[in-house]
Amino acid sequence: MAVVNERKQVIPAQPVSTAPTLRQQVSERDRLTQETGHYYGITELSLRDADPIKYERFYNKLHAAVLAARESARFVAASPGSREMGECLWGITTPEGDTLAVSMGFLSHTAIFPVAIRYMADNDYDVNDGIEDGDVYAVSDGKTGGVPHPGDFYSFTSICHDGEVLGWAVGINHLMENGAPVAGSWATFSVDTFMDGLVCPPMRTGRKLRQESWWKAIWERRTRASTMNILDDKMRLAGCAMINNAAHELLAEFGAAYYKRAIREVIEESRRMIVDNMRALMVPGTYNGCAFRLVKYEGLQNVWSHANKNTLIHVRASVEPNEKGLMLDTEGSSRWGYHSYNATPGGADAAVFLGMINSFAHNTKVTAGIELAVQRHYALGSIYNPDYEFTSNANLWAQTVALNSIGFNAVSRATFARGYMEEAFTVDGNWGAFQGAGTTADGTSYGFTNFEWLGGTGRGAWCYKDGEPLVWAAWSQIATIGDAEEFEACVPPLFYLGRKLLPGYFGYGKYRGGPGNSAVHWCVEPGKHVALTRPNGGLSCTTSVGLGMSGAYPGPGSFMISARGTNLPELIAEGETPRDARELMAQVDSGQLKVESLEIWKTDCPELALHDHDLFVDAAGSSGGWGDPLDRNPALVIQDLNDGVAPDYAFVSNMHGVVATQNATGDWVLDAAATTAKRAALRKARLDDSLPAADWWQQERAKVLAKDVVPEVHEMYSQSLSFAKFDGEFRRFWQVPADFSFSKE
Amino acid sequence: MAGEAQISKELIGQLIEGTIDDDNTNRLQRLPRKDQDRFLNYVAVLQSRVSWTDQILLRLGDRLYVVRNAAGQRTVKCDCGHEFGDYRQNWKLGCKVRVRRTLAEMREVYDPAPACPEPGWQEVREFFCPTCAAQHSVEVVAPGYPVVFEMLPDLDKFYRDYLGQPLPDESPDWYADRTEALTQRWAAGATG
Amino acid sequence: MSDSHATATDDRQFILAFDAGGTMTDAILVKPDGSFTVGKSISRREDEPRSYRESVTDAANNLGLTAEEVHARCGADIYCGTGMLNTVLTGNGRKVGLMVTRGFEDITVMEGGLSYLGQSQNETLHQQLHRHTRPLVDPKNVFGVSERLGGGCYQGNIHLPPGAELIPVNEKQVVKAVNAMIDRGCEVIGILFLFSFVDARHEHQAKAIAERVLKERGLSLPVVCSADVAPVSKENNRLKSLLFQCFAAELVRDSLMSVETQAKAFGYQGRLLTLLSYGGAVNMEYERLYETMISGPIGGLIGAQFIGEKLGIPNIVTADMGGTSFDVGLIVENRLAITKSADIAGHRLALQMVELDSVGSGAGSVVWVDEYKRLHVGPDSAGAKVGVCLNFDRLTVTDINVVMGYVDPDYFLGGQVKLDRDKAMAALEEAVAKPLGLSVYEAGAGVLDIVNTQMNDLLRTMVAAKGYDTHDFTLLYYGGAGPVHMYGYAEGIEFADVITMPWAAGFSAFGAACAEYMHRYSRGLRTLIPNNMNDADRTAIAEQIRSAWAGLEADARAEMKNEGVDPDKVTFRYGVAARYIGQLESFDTALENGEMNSPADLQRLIDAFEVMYTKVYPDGARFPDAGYSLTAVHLEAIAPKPQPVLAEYPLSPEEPDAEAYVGSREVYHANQWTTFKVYEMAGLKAGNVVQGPAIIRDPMTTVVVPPKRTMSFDKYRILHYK
Repeated sequence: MAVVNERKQVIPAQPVSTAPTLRQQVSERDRLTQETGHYYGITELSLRDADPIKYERFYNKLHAAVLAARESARFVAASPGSREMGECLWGITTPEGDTLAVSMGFLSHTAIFPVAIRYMADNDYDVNDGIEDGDVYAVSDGKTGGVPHPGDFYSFTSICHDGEVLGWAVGINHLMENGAPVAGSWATFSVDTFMDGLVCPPMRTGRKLRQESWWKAIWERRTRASTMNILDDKMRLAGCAMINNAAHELLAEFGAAYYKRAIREVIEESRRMIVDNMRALMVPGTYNGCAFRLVKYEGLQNVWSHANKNTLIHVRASVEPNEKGLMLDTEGSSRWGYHSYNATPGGADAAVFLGMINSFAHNTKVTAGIELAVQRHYALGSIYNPDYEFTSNANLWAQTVALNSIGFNAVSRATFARGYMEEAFTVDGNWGAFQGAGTTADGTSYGFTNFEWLGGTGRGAWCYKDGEPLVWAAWSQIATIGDAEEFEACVPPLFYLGRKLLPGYFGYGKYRGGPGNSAVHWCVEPGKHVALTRPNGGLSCTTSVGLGMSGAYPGPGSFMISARGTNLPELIAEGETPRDARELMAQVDSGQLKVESLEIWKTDCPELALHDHDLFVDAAGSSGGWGDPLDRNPALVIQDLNDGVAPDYAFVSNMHGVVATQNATGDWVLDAAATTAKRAALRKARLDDSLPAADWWQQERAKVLAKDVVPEVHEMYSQSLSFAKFDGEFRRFWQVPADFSFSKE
Repeated sequence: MAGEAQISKELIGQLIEGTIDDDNTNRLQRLPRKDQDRFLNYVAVLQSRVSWTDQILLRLGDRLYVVRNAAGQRTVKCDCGHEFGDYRQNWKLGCKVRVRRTLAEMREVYDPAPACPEPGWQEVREFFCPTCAAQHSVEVVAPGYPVVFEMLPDLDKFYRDYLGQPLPDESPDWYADRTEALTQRWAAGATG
Repeated sequence: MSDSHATATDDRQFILAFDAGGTMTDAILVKPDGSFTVGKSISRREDEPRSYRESVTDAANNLGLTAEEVHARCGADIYCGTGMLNTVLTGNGRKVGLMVTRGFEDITVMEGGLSYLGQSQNETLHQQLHRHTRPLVDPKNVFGVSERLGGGCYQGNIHLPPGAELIPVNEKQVVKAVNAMIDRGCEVIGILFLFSFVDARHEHQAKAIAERVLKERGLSLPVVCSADVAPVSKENNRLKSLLFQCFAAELVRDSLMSVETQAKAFGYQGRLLTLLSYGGAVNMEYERLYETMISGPIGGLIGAQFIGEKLGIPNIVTADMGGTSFDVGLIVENRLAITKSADIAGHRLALQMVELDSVGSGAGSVVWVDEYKRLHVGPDSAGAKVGVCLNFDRLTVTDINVVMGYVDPDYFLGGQVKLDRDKAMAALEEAVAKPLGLSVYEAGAGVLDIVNTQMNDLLRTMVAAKGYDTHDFTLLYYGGAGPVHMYGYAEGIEFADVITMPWAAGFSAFGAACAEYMHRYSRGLRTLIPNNMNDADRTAIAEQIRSAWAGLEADARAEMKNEGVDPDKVTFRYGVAARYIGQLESFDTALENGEMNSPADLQRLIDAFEVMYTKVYPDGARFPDAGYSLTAVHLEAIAPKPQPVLAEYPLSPEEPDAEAYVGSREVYHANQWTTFKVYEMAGLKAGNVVQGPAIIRDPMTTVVVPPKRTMSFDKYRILHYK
């Protein structure tokens, strides 16, 4: 008989007791940590030092339970994102929500645990009307739960002992459809939280590790993929039940006193190791980075005039190692806005910790220790800490992945300077996905999200070699794009004509980034209706991050193309259907592919209805280069030409100053002498076509003083200059008069 | 395995050259504890590869270093020997700058066409060494954006607290952004 | 029919089983009473018949027989090699030409993004470690062909049906691709089209065209379709199965055939067999030979299954502790637990594989302490060098067992090798005791505690992760080091029973000898059973399932006939892959029999699914309201094959004979020196009960019986721990 079933039968109803309230536990954690600088005031790892073997056994059991929960529970899922890919996670926490152990999956989503618990504590959930063992809470709100975006749905289940909350088992996964006006998983074009779909502040939906009956109705009535969502909900709960059970076995074996002390030591121990790691790998100083994202909302005036404008989001961050670890300061980033790209501190943490855990926690226990070692400053009123309670954060990932990239790249700059070159590579976070809803000819409605380009991306160039294609995902340690055969089965009328790497699509440099991905989806007999939108982590008219590494170009943004009203049957007859974005554009240019409406989207597209033989092509997951393109080994340029990785000879010849000729078999062969000459010429051209910084500064300053910029840029500066730190930097750099401002006069 | 690994200068040289094989790369990445003398070996290897003799204090980029020059100043120096001046000033302001503003100009560095940033909202800035024309940095930012000071190291703290080998010329004001001194002079009409 | 599949007759009662490892080839000669002798030789990849010859001669000589005499009396000869795995690891396989659906030309390079297979969680977190596995095909030898079939929708029958033709196969492109492959010197052609697991007709059409082209050019390269190699969903895994078959299997087949020739030369009259990664034996003609890639570790599980059936134990956890790892497997209701995607050498295959979980702690595992004073065991291992006590330069678990007195330094391999306890002691002091500020014996005890706890946790989680309860399981432990540590890794887990055999050290090979002659077949299905479905429709579905099974039964009989089996002697086991409508994962559900004609039969299937499901998941994870979906039918076809017999012995008194007692030894156990009685395994009889503290020594292993525990021999001389 199943262990988990056994547990349910022995859960006693908890009596009202004199145990500390959740509010008391949280404030105690805050006070002790604040006063001592050590987690929970743990200055000595007394349990570990007294009996390291018992201590490790305790943790191994805790960790094993969480790992096992995922490996077993994910098979309950209905969404490929959860079962196949990294889009789910389980964890166990302290009473205060501080992480003790996590499963495989999108690890940093643990960042929000303490946010949700703090809200429950501040609002006396345990006092009225009490928290008992195995209670189930649903959480998907950014403001009260810290949830990155409502598409990430959390199930918290309480672990109680003698009437005291001793911890939480939490399961998370990325829903394929969460019931917003815009169908799918990221409510693009949301103006505020009321358009974000199913948004739950922490609310109890079940008891004794079972959901209550009414909860099913919420999924059925408030989302477009109820079966899928109900199964995902059951999946999260199944894993939590296993963890809850394991926790009680641990309490029985080690006793509550040991348990309460050990869970705090575990976090303090990992915090110390993380701080040591930072000191061992980094160079102290200040690292600056920036990125931009364009939000194109102009055209919403008929319905929401206050949101009817484009916004150029400015992502700005500095990283500064210090005694406690390092400080990541986002001051200078844009203010919040009436768009779906806003974050919350919890959501921003979930992004920031990705690179930090990768860099400093991979050799220790993965716990809340990272949250103490990585200090964050999110200025109030900014996009990371809105002073408006109803912001939408449906698609915060579109810009917070850039924030993570900035922090992660600071670490790459540090390891490069420190000599640990083997660790240093260019970090980009450029994901893609598409989502939508439809109704087949027989009247069956469905909602869907295709996560494939969220599953894996190319890796930016290393400082000593090219980046690899489709080898990682900054937001999940288990890159997997799933299978075309499974995604296709989820979206009835869309069929793959290609799922490839996109040649030439990366940042160039001495070493190039790993090529991005491109898929071609073909619409066949859509029935009554099918329409999709495409949220995106790089679909923004900008590069992934603002700074290239050591003279290379940063990774290009993603894009999509809709080709509607095509002569596809003719291409099918020729066996020459387009396989990726590049080929499709070439076929359009050559006239082989005839298209009534060809649209290239470099920002989120509004709902796109597809009909028979319409094509929808995307490109995402590119990454940046490292080093001066003119330093690239010509042999690598030739190899990329012959392998079709960088197929445009004219382009790469000018990019890298390489001259080659094609031999009889069509292979490119290097012309060494001509290459040397061309590189010399290009270097000369660089000097001829450029200005001394001082002269350039004078020209640019004149434009700045005249505010000679497009409205979106003007708006961006007016927002960022409203924060003292960036305002000061801007004024010092351009030496503008005291009364200068971008605010609307 | 628990003990500290010794990483040869040959291997460090291969990292710098880009000739290291993946087995060795993998081995370095899997070290349970990084070799703590790596930095000094790294600097030694770098020093042996440059044509000049100023002491390398830190490597900022493939061809860019913070050095202590003959005059005892901590300056930013290019492989080719070009000096960018005090490392506390953003060295990019000692570069020659080329800006790509139009789609046609951006198309020369991004491929395929839709991969280009959007003119008006973004521009591509290239920073060259005035002497050897090495491309030391690229910015893709909004027009009017202050040139980003990518990394200002705290060298005294690094050498004293991280490496345990304090620099002879420690001073409290070594860790400060002095870029404004330059822009002030420019604003006053000076060039260069 | 070939008489190789007759049951063992009196004059052919020997069973031969070979484990051809990377360095050594072991030949296990199983005697009619189940006991065995081992012969050894160096593994020679370039000349496997020679390794076979030398090891089997060595084994025969132990019994004073010749290889010819043994083969003449041999009823079954099973050979488990690592040649295929080695071919993949070293990349020395066939030059493959691959034909894929147009637009998927990069699939071998992308490999689904999987770049972390086989890594621990800590390693996956450090994403600089993520790497692609070297492709088994040169990307330049991959060619796209315009074609498309639809696969149907998971929501059910709401759009184009499964197998709908969207784009016909472009014959010109197939011809062009095949010619290009030939010109580029490809040695084998693989074909992977989307949804060929639903309908193979496009792959088969392309194969026919390819074979026509080959014929025209006077060539005869093998052409392999993914639908014939692994007819299951997920193109990325199916591709890896196809590539393993093309790249490695056909190459290794030749070598295995030459081993069989050697066996026949010795006078063996049957077919040489090898093991499938999901259990069962096949001969070297087997079409999907890549399924035998992982055959070594399978033996022990099959042996446990065999013992379980003999003793009437349905649920078994196996624990195999060798030199480098501790492997745990599960047998549930006399069936091997199977996983559907096997990760092998950095590739994820669509391969049914026995579910094995491991921790890298074996007898040879290196013991070390890091700068945070954390003790680590493994993953490095001394392998055959044992440890500092023999000829390795770092401290190993065996060293500590010698120091603590568990292992007798003078009786290793029956005394053939002397171990140096003093050197082991010094190493323990240096590597662990000093850094941790402990005494040598405290340190030794601590290390063994860590090792035992790691294994203990793996045993727990392996059972718990599947949602089972250890009370329902018997622990069967084996491998050279298994009995030495059993007291530790079994500690505190309440099993129904804890057993091993006198021949624990060679149990894996014994198990190989126990394998059934079995093939497993599956056929994809897209069948929905909504709750409101009427009886007529339910009957139709039942008949659909029955006819699917009938088709597989026919395939099985035909295939086995080609392998020399009498089709009339083939028997079958039935199962389906089922799930709630909407779920992505299907759950294999075994059925009592192949009866499937009525709504009642269908209901029995649904009940069986619910029982299986609630064994694994809490009640809250059930979703009967959604209705059910069947995604595949399974069939296992079994042919008779000689099996070892477990000899029964008359029961002797509980008190062992005096001559079984060989003395006593001081052991540092449970933090104190304790006097352990030492017995000779060979001297202990059925019915004997050994009282702890005691050690039962054997040339191949050491059984530790701690104080207050007993080890009793039943009528099969199987050891029961209490």
